[in-house]
Amino acid sequence: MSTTTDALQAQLLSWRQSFDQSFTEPREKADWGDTWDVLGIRIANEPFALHLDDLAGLLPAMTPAPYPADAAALLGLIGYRGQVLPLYDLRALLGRGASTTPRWWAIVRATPLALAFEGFDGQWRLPPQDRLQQDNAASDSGSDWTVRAGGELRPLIPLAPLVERLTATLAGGRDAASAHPKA
Amino acid sequence: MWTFGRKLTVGFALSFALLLLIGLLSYRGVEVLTNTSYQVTRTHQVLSDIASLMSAMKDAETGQRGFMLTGDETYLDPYRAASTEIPRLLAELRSLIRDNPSQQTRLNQAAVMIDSLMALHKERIEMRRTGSEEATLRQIKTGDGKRRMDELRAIIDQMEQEETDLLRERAREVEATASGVRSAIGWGTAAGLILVLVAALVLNRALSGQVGAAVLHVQRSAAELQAAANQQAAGARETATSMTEISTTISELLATSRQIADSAQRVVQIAEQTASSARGGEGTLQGARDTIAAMRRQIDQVVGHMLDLGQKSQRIGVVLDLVGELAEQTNILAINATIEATVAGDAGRRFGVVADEIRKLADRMTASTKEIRLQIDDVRGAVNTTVMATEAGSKAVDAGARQFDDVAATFARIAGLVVTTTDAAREIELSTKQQATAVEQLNIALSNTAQASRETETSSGQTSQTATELAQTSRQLLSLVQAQSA
Repeated sequence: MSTTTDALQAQLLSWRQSFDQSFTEPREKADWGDTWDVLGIRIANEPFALHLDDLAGLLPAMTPAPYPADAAALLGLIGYRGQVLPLYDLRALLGRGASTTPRWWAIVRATPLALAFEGFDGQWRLPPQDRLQQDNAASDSGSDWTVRAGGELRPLIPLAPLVERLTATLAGGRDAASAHPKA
Repeated sequence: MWTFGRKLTVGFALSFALLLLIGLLSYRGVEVLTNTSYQVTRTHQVLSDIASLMSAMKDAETGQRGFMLTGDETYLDPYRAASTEIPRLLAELRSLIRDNPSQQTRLNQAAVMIDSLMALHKERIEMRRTGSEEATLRQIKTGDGKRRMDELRAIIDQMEQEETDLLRERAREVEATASGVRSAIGWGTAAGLILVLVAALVLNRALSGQVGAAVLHVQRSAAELQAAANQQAAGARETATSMTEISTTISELLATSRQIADSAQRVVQIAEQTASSARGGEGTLQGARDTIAAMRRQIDQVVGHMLDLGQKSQRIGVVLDLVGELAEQTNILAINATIEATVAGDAGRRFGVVADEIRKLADRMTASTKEIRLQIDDVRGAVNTTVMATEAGSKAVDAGARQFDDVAATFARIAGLVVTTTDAAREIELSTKQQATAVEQLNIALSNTAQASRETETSSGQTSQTATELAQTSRQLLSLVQAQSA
């Protein structure tokens, strides 16, 4: 019991020192340099990563408001900071089937929409040696990069092409609806 | 079957008899030869004396004639010598032939003739001295002297012939006696050799046969005796060893008996103490009952505390869930702050650092809550186990309380039985003391037996030594009587 207590005391001390250290470091160190902030997520029990620059927010999943539409990946509508955003299933968008229980929502910065996914592993700031560029054709998620974070290799999901594809699909559907209005 | 001594006696007796016979015969022969030799010597002496007598007579006659022819007195010297010699010779002859009557007769005749002749010579000498030479010559011419001398010669010749015959006869006797002695010595030696050979053969056969067989028998008997003595010595040694071991065992048994007696005595004392303790055990039993009741209450309190502890652990879990939730929300906030800082560009970088530190704290808090959750779960598991164990202990205490009454009853019975045990222990003590005495006597008897065994071993060793010496003597005796068997 005392051994466990000693270990906890030591851990507490190390945390205290780390916390204090963050205040003693010089300002120049605050320059992040060439680092990427990534978010580790889990889709169909497989590790993936999202670039933090592509996102405007992260929040735990709640019950979305259902919205009748033809889009297969659309889960409903959500409210975020006074905005109504469509919620899409990221797994369905990646072509891996529908999510069973999406527990997290990520708000996309470039376009007003939200993506639901199943698991959230953490957030990391990655140096260049943890970023691997790969052949685009080799990835089923259309990713150019793979990152090493949390002890695993994670394909970095590029949200911009995904959003473009979705937008194009929605635009095509809207054009078709306007060309053939229902009676 | 003749004995060896009888054969030796007979052999030596025969040899003795034969030697005695040969000795007797030889002695007798030598005796005869000696006598004959004496007789021959005497005969030769007789012949010599006869010849001397005859010579003296001739000297007397010659002297007488010379005197008569010459009248010279010097011619009478032979006569005078003969006159003194003749009587001595006659006396000597008489003594020599006294065992021969015929020779004595002849000697008497010769003596008469000699006296007659000597008287004639004397007469004529006197005549010559007194008369004339012619008268003397006439007297000679008568021939009376010659006739008387011839007659004497005849008698003397007869005597010589007689003695010569005697010599021949004694030579024959000597020859016969010598032949007998030779025969006796030759045949006796041959018989003695045969007897010695026969005796040697018989004795050799007897020695090598009877004595050899007897010696072999003695040798075998000695070997058997030695083997028996060795066996007896080994048996005695084993017996002595066994006796010593038994004695040691009995000594240990004796010590054990004494220990048993002491133990029995202590058992008696302890049984008496036990009886007194059992009698005074009622108060102790009541105290034990109270102690069990107090234990029951304490166990109930422990159960209550444990249940309380479990509830508190549950509450800690709820609080921990709260903390975990807060940590997660803090984490999300930190991530969102980071996102906002990223959106703000360079201006938001410092804020991003703070947000990052906040996120790290939230991560650590999450990890800590997980660890605390595990600890709490362990505590709750331990509490559950303790509660169950305490419940079992409570039931065991109840069962113990019930069994305690049985123990009290049993104690009462034990108090009764202890009295019986005390009596039995006293009997055991008495019997063990008697047993110890008997074992001491047995030990003394065994010591005596071991001593007797050692003495038997010693005497067996001496017997074995004697048998060895006997066998050695037998071998030596056998080598004496049977050289080839060696």
